[in-house]
Amino acid sequence: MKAIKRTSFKKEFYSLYFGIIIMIVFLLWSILPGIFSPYNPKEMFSPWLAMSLSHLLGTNDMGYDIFSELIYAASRTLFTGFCAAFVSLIIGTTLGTLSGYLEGWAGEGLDFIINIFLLIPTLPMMVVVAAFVGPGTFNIILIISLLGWCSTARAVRARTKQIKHSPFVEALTISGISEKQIVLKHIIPNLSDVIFAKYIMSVASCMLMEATVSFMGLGDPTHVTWGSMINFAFSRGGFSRGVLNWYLPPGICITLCVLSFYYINSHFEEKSKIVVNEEQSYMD
Amino acid sequence: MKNLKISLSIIVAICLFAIGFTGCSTQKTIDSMVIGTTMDIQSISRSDYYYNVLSGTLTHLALVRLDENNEIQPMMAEYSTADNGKTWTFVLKDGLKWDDGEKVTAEDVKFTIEYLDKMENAGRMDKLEAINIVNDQTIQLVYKTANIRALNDLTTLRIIPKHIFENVTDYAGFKDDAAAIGCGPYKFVRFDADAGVLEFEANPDYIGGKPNIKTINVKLFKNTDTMYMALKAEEIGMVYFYAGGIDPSAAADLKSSGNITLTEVQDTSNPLVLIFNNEKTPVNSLPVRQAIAKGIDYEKCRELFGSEYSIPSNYGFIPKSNEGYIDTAALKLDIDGAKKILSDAGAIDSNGDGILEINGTPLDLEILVRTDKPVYARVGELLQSNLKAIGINVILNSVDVPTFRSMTETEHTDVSMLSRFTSFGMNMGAGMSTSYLDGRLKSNAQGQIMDPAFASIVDKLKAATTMAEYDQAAKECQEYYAGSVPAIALYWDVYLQAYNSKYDNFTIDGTFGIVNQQTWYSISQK
Amino acid sequence: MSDITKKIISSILCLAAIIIINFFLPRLMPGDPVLMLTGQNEESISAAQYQSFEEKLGINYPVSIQFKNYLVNLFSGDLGYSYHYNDTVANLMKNRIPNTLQLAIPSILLASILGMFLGCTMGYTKKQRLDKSVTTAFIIINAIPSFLLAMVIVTFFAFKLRLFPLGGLNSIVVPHHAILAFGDRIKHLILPISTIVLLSLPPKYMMVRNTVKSATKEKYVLYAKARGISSFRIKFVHIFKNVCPPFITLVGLNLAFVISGSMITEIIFSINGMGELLYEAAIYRDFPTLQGCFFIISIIVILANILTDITCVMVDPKQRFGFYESN
Repeated sequence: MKAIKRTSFKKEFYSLYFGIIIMIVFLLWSILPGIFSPYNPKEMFSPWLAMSLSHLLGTNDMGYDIFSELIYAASRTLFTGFCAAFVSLIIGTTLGTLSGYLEGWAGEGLDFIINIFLLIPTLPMMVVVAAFVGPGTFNIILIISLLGWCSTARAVRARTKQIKHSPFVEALTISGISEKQIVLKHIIPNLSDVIFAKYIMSVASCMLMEATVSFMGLGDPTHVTWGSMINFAFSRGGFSRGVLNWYLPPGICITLCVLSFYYINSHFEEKSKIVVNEEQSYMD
Repeated sequence: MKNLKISLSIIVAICLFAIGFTGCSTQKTIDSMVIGTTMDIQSISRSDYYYNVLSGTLTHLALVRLDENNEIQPMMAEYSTADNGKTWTFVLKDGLKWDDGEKVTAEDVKFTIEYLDKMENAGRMDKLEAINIVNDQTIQLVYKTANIRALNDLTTLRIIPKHIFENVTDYAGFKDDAAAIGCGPYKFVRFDADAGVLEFEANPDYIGGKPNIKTINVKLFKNTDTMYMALKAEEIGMVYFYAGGIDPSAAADLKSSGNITLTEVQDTSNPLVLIFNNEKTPVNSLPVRQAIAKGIDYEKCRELFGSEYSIPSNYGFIPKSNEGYIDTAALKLDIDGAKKILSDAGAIDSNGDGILEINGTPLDLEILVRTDKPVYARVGELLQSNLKAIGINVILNSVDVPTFRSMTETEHTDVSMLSRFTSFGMNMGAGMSTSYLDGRLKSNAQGQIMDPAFASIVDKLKAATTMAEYDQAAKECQEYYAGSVPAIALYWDVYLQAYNSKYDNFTIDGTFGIVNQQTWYSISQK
Repeated sequence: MSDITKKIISSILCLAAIIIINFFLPRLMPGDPVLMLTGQNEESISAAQYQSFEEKLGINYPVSIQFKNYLVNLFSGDLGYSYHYNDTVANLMKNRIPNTLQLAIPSILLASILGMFLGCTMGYTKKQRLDKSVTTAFIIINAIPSFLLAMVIVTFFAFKLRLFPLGGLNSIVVPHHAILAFGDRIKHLILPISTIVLLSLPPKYMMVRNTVKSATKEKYVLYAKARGISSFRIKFVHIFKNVCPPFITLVGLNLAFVISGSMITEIIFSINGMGELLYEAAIYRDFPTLQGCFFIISIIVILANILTDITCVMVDPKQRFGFYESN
């Protein structure tokens, strides 16, 4: 996705506004679901109701109001995305900084490790690990973050190398400031723009991964996320009945969420002139 | 020359008329039919459970079969019994031949019983005193004790050819085409695992004559939704699942599509049950179980998970139209009654969180569900909101299949679970679902009833020498269930079978539903 | 160390890492490794069987010896035995690999060609609005979860419009004539391949478009324009040469994605490929198959990566010389 770097909408802020507004809506949904949702998500009405004013998106196989469920699912989906992205950010930043800063075999070795993880096919690996460790939100977060940190690490490494060879760091080194200080106080703060951009993108990709894992029935079935809503629609007759109002909305929410992250990110990448070189998609 | 022309035109006219005629009437001979199924068939090995089942409807015969009214009818053999059901004699029908031309003999029957005991731990030899071969076509089974339900067991004993299997040691791994040799109305042609298609063709030498459909293809689906789509799109002619029907939630949609007929087949199984591990707190306490039984919204349950023909279930647990069924009180939602039972048992909500406590321990009910069947998670959600109203907190624990099975069948670390009991399973052992509930059994036995009163009923069921004795014990058994609520049947139902409306005249069978060996001789196409 | 040697070494190390993960995963997880490795349930396994499995797997030996045996088996092509399918994992894979490749190879080729063509055209075009709408469309497609895209495609093109079959690789009754059978196969492949192409197109398109866009401002393009060379030639000859090496690298990196994408597609279109096998194995917790599948998929991805790197070196003179110098 980083392939979609700078697009040409330079002076246009529409996309940024679009991204921010959507993000705010989804964040509000997850913080205060009770205010937005017309019903309790577990309140049962007649099943399979069509879209109407009293049920904006109809009801599903259990008679749950789909719109309410959609709103309540936002928090679990975003929570998984943010947490997984956060853990992978920490792993990625640590390894990236070290491998960029350290010289000799240590730096090279870490670079090798990053490259190795980059080569592992993520989705099959996730399926294997998920099958072994079993369902559960915590497990899903762990799996996604353990496999999703590589691109962050790569970007951080590139940037660290760049900063390390910049005059100000060389000046610090000459003036005898300890390496630990340099890394913690001078390099990492200067990485913040890369880290921020990467974090936003990895929330998006973690959300997509969570959705895919949930869709495959390897997620946590007791907590509703947008991915598991689609999984239920697929396995409980929503797909064959063509109940689009059940499985499209969560899909559209995921898409909108990813898009908003993308637009926010591309704005900041632009602003800070980050050039992220590697090209890959969210789900590779 | 002119005559020739006239006669030719007459012939042509007759032919056209004939074509037109057959075109609009029902045809007895059908070229081919495709059956869609989600049964998980991996190979044609006899150890492949679902292939074995499927073969029973097409290529393989059992000695006897169950008809529509669950009564035993001869299939491969005529039967008779002596000394109160201790000795059973079977005379094979004339002219039965294996697909490779060999004659079917009594030796094959004897071999099958012995071989399956060795390979599948079928456990028949333990009950048998002797297998006597009287002549080429006559075989006698002598049981150690009178076994009035012997024939029931034999309905699923599909006879296999001795000359093929006598040298097969790797039973599970034997997937050669020869493994599919049977003596039924159809012959196995091919299994294309890659495309998920099994092909069978009519067996012209079958003693019952040629069946109505020339070629039957069985298409394997992984996903029921895709299968229903294929049925609606007329890619397949019917859907089938052993001891099951279509998903009731899809019924209305299939019906409204215009080209699909739904028929109901009486379901003698328990489609949805909540089973308590009667040894675990809090469900080892009778008032808690009784309160749960009164706290469930059975009507909602039927509306969401059952078909439109589903009926309320009773405290007696064993569904109607099973041998020995008696009427017991119907299960009904009674929130006040449930609350009263709980408060009488000393449950109070001392900390005001809405959950009752007995002696300070909150009433937490863990329900185990399996991840591969999303419907159970849904049922769990319903129970969760139902039981909350009477102050019981349901914790849904969803685990993968191997964990589920080891927790419920061997380790018994679950508190309660949701499942489905097949008719065949409920009839196993002493019958009356006892093999699922009797805590003395090592494996399966999810119910874990250790009550000596129950044990003595099970022993009575086993010791019955006449049907009247058995029915008496069955009555006691159901009364025990009704009083002690070791498990709850959430509703009883029918199987809905769906097929393209151009087909008609299916025959119903007690074991297989509408896909069975009799159907191939009655089915017609519009 | 040149980039290419570095890449090959990390590929080999990656393979080693995967072998180690595969070996240790069942042994480190809570639960009985014998049951995990054989995919058996405790209730269906007799004590004698258990013992024979234990012996066969060598669980009682020290880990180092187990690992050695594991490696020996792996390199002699023994990927284990699936008790769910009653077949060796190697046999299972043998039937599945061609099906996945049938999807993956045309998808990769089509996506690459389309990505290159659309990217060059949109990067070079003066019609800002067209460029913008196509680019936005791709950004949106890229944000759609893959399974949702596949589901929507099935719903509309196969189920509602009935233009294509719902799934599988063949009709239930395959026509006997070879050409008809081939046509039948093509008809079944169109939707799944289109799905994978749509899924893997956006990053390729974006990369080409952006590179071309910045290249149009470079001197050689301006000179070419000044010399009156047709814009078609500039696009597809001059700029193309410059886009090629990074593009090939991208295609290589994208292979893993195509494999993952085909996994989702296989599930929704009920195609018996490797991805579908992996999915099924995960559902039934058939660990030997799970690991075997994962191992083979990884090998394919890694080999493809090495291959693209070598191709890159061959295509790009700069890299080629760099490669020779450092050796």
